[in-house]
Amino acid sequence: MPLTVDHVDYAYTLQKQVLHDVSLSISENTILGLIGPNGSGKSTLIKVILDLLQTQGGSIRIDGQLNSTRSAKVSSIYLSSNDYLPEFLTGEEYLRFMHGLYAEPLDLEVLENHFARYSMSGRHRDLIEDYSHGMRKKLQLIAAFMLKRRLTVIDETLNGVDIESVGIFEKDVRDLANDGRSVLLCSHDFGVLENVADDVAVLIQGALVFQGDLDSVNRDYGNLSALASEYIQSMGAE
Amino acid sequence: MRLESIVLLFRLFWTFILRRVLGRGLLASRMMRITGAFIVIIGFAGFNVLSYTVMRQYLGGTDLFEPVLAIANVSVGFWVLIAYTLIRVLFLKADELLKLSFNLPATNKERTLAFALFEASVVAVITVFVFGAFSISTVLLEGPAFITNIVVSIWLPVASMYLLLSVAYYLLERGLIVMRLARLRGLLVPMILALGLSVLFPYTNEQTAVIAESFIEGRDYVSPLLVYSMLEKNFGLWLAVLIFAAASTAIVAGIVAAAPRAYVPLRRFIVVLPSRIATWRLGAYTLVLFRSFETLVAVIFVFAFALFAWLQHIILPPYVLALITFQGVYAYVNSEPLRRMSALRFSAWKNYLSIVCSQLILWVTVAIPVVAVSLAQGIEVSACLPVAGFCLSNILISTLIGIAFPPEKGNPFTVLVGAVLAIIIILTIALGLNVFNLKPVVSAVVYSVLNILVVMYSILGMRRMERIQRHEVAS
Amino acid sequence: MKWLLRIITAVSISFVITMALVVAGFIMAMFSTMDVGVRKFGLFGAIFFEAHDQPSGATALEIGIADGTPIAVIFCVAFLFCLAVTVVLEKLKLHKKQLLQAR
Repeated sequence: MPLTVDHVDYAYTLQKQVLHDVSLSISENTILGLIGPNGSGKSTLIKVILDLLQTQGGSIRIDGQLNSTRSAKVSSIYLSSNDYLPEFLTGEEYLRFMHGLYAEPLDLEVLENHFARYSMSGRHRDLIEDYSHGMRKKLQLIAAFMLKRRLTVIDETLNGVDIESVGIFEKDVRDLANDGRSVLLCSHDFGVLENVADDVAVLIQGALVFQGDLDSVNRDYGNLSALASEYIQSMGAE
Repeated sequence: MRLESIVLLFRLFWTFILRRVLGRGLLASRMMRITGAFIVIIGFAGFNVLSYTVMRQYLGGTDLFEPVLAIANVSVGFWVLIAYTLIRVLFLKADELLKLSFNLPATNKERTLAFALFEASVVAVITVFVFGAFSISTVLLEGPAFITNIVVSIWLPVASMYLLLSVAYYLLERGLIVMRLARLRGLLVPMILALGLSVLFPYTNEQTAVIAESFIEGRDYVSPLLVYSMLEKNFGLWLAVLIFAAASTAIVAGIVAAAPRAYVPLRRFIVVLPSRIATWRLGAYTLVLFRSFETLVAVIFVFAFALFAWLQHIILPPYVLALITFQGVYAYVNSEPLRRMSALRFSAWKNYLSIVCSQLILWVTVAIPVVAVSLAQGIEVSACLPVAGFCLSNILISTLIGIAFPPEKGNPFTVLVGAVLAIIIILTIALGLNVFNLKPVVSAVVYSVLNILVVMYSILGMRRMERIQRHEVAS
Repeated sequence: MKWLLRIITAVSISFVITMALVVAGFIMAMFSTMDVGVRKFGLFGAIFFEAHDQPSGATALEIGIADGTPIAVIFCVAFLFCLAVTVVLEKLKLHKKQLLQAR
């Protein structure tokens, strides 16, 4: 199993419990869409999964290994919601550095092809300092599609990416998942999730209130938006 | 232009800086803030006592105060330009501060003026610290009547000079916008200021000699630079202050008129070195350092000085290389994205080693030609070795300052607080050890142990920052 | 390990405090007189300062340690003080944590 999250709790302070007993898993060839309102703990869950925050309760395994091990880290890649990128590097150098970290050789031809597909032809030798917000996000996506890890975690990375590139992303992420890999895709864009996700998980107030496949969601609720609204309303009423 | 917007923006900048300075690194802890304030106050008091005792010993009861004050007055231009160059370089890096105000309903002019006001207030704080000791001890020795002399000879000329430099800077910025070179101002502005310094330096020296001669020969010394002092002597303080107020009003109006209407983002990095080295961690750390504009400025300064020394036959060990080592202050923060962009983590000591080694690579690259020039001038290799030791120590200390007081978003105040505290501690240790008359070998051992402590605290600091990011410990 | 680090930190801080006092004592001794040939002492007799006339006409300054005991005592007192502050702070932090957990 590429990802298993087992009874995970997390609190930033003694008074502020953010995650409550969260358990979820992602199978091979699967894209899991993670949704939930702002402040529900999605980013915290992702950070705990990737060991960017220390696990306080429960256990997490990536590709069968504990998330704090080097092999788990090499099996996963994280695209963060902020565009905190090294502005002193060019796009190509950023990808070289990422490939260096994962000990993978960089294929310049593939790189140029990706840049062209994402409407950034010839920009790989420009400093990231000169990239727009959307271009930085696309660069992060290219890194993920070139490195092809067992688990790819995407946290709101699509914000600010143009419609044409979102279409290309949908195709690429599907290809990635069909190739024996898994993706955890956190997004508020239900349209994209409905196009690419296999499963959906709903996180509200730090608790995982739903995990199921998209077909059953469409059958039982009509669409993702209706599912989210129903759970948010029922949690608000409690 | 609304005055209220300027004041609000000015307050926003100060709030940001104070929260950034006091919220990160060592100063995040209240205990450390109190200790830091205590060290600064003790340092300032010590500075005052030293200044008072030295002046009482050498100048007390003599009539040397007048010429000393005249020399101080004449050299105000030079010293203020040095301080202004430093402030400019630091504040050019604080470009991101300006971005804070972009979504606020303020015009570019209001934004620029609020920033100028903010910058001036920072300069005022530093000036009080630097000139305060001299002013206080002079007044203590010569009586309250001397306050007038200090005001017209130091404080008023400093303020006017600062304002004049600000107008010149904004005019320069406008010129660069017209020439489409504004994005490169991070590099061009320090170069032009350095050119100003090289012109002012011989002039200040010459005038100092003229003042000394005039004093010995009993002649009156007249210079346009002493305008406030001469006005006060001939017509009274009120006229000097009136002229100062009128001049300041005119210059501030000039600043308002000269401030650029458009904001041009600054280019912060320049592409040098081949892309291939980004594959390795040390290579990427080296790129951070080599590509930042402040490194380029420092390197050009070093080469310019080496060339100047060569042409003017100034034979000195290459201590100018120390200028490169101060880049260490930004080394930790600038390389932060390399540590944050992936979940793959490396131990703190490995990252620290990369930070220090990249600086050593830069230093050696610059040192080779500079030392070659020194050797060609006849300086012994044995005279160059202490320079290497001094620079290595400087790299370690400035890296520690950058870790303990991380200048996030290029905020210059953190660098200043860290540098002031470090200078006070280093001077105390150096002077203290001097009293012990230690043998050179013992001194070398003591300084090596101190450097090992610096390395140890840097690694511990990095480890702690990482644990804070992971919320393992409270900040 | 934690205690070793605390001891190293306490030694470092007390070293800086001692050096600061040595410098202060030296400055006070130096400026208490400028009489040539008179040896002045500072910091409880630990530091001396003396100015000599040289045959060339220049004045040579001599500084040094007259008695190391006061300096050693200052260092020890500073060290014990730093260590005591660390222990008290640690206890207070632990107490705060216990109080928060009890809530």
